[in-house]
Amino acid sequence: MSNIKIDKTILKQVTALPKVADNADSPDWMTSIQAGARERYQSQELPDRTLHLWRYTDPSLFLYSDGADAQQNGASSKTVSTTASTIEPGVSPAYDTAKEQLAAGELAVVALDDADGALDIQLTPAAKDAGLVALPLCEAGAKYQKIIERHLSKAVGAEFGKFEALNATLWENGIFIYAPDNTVIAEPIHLLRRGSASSRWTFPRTLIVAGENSRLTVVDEYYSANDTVSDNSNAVVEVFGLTGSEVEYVVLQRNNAHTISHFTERTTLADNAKTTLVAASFGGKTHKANLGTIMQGRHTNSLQYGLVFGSDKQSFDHHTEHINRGAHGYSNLDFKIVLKDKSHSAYTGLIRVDENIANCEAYQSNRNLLLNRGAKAESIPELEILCDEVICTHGATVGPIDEMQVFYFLSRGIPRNEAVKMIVRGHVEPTLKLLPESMQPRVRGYVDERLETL
Amino acid sequence: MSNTALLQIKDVHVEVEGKEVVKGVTLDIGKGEVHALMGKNGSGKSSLSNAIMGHPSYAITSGDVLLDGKSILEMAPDERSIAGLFLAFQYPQAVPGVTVANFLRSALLARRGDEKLMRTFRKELYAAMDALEVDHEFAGRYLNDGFSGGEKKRIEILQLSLLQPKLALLDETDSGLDIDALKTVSEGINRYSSDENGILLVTHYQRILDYVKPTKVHVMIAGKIVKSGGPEIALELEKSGYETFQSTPVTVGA
Repeated sequence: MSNIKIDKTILKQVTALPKVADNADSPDWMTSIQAGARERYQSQELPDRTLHLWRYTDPSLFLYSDGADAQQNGASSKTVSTTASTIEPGVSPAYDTAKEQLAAGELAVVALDDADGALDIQLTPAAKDAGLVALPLCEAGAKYQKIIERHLSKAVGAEFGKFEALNATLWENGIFIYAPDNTVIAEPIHLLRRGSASSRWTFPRTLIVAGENSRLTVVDEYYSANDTVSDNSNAVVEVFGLTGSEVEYVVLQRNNAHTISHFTERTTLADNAKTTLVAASFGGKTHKANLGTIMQGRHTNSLQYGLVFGSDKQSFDHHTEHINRGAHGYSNLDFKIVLKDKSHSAYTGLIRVDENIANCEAYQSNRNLLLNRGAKAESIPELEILCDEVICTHGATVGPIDEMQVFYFLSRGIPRNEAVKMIVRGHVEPTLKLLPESMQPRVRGYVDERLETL
Repeated sequence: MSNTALLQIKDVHVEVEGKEVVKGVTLDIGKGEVHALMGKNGSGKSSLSNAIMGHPSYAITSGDVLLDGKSILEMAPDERSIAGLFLAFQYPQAVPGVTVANFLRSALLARRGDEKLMRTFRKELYAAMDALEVDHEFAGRYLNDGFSGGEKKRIEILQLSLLQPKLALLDETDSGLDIDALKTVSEGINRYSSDENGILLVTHYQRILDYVKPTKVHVMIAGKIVKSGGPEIALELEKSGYETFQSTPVTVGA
């Protein structure tokens, strides 16, 4: 199999990898986890493309390259440029806009991650007073060892998959967000992750722990270093909602058109914990995301929402999971996708209810809107229900805009072009409304940008 | 009535998926007139209304339709709307994510063409909602999404009252309405009705004609108008049903 050959190249590279990039603060126990992950990475072959999660995206796209030997590295070589070495200010408008909002006080707690620079975490006094902890993961490893040891790599560890093992080996600029028990963080916590202008792969990692009966919202935004360099990323996010907590996690992906990204997120819920996930993907050349909630406790509640808007030749591959392991869990998923030009999306959504789990409700809906003939969407809902007391529904649609809806608009004098824009905006609006209010106009703007050239 | 009727339907034939469903209808509606077009399910009434509005599934294969003396057949549906046509749908589309207010604002903006002229929009909208006993909360709800049948019909008439078209095609606006809603909706239609506009009211039943008084009534069977006359025809229909008109010779026009 040709994969084996590629894997050997990677094995060679991994052997030479640093433990943790640029992090002298990393405690020994943390680096030993990374060493273990490296072994795990080395022992795994590339995912088999016959496995259902890899049918739609070539795994070799996510092979690591540090840029120097990119030309020998198959698919990833096409995406790597080695020209830029510094971040030019003002060349990543999306990132800069978000920063301006922060400066204007429209956003609250922030962690700025310029991949080529230091991680800069700023807490507002209100967040500090409320008890929020936001630290570089390595630094937090010493101060909060007990809680981090209990959670780091427990939801997405090296055994999760080859590329998750790669992140577990190479993560850098890790961020730890912790709301201690009974704290309520009113303002959204913004993490702005920017790729590397020196065209290397980056490995962001985020660990979020919502203590018992705490409440917090984290907005995790991913940007390229600028609009021209392909700065590929492999990110992992772990979210833990302890008993009675409520966590909203929003991930916004706004990479440039050259970037390849791999993203894995898992939320684990204890008894009576609630979570809302909103994933909005706009950018990149190829973006593969795996998002899921493990409903470990009883009486958990998990809502997942997705919004994807593809254009040109972009390729999106999203997988979601709701894994019900506790009784009386409620989950609902609504994943909306809009595609134009020759963009492509694959969506797979799994609902699994384990054996002997009483009174679960699980719903899933994926709607794909194709704005022209060249755009393609695939939708594969999957149900694994291993017990009897379950209410479960799923539905998927793929198709062009409903001409009857368009006719309704036309009959009121609204021109076709405007009608189509309004219908598309309407398709995504209920998801946009779930975002923190301060970022809604910005994200609506991203939708409008795509609609301008219809 | 002036020499030129507001809406002239001239020997119109309509096909749906290759099947002729309207087989030569001729009808003139003048300013200030309310015409009731009555017929059983499948008689072609709704097909005629949809075809006049320019529905893509309903093709006018021959004949002509003139609004204010000008043929509209070459116009796109939005152009027909701007020219003064309006269709209140039998089954209004639900459009999740687009609020009633946003939809109506866009429809009015398409007519007025200037944002400055939209300053009074909210005031106009709320006044029209009050008149139709529609809660202001509906302005922020997604268009027809989860609305009851009666709510949808009220929203159609709300649109009629705001857009003030020259000619309104009301396609079974009375269906799905309870008696109170029927009265409210009928009052809305009557408020709209004036010497400057015309109405083609498509219905199965006579009951809405107790509230909206027609100047003329037409009976349509199997794609043709078989009888035209005054309001007494509706009463006759109510009494004897459509069967009595089956064998009536075709009386074309009004």
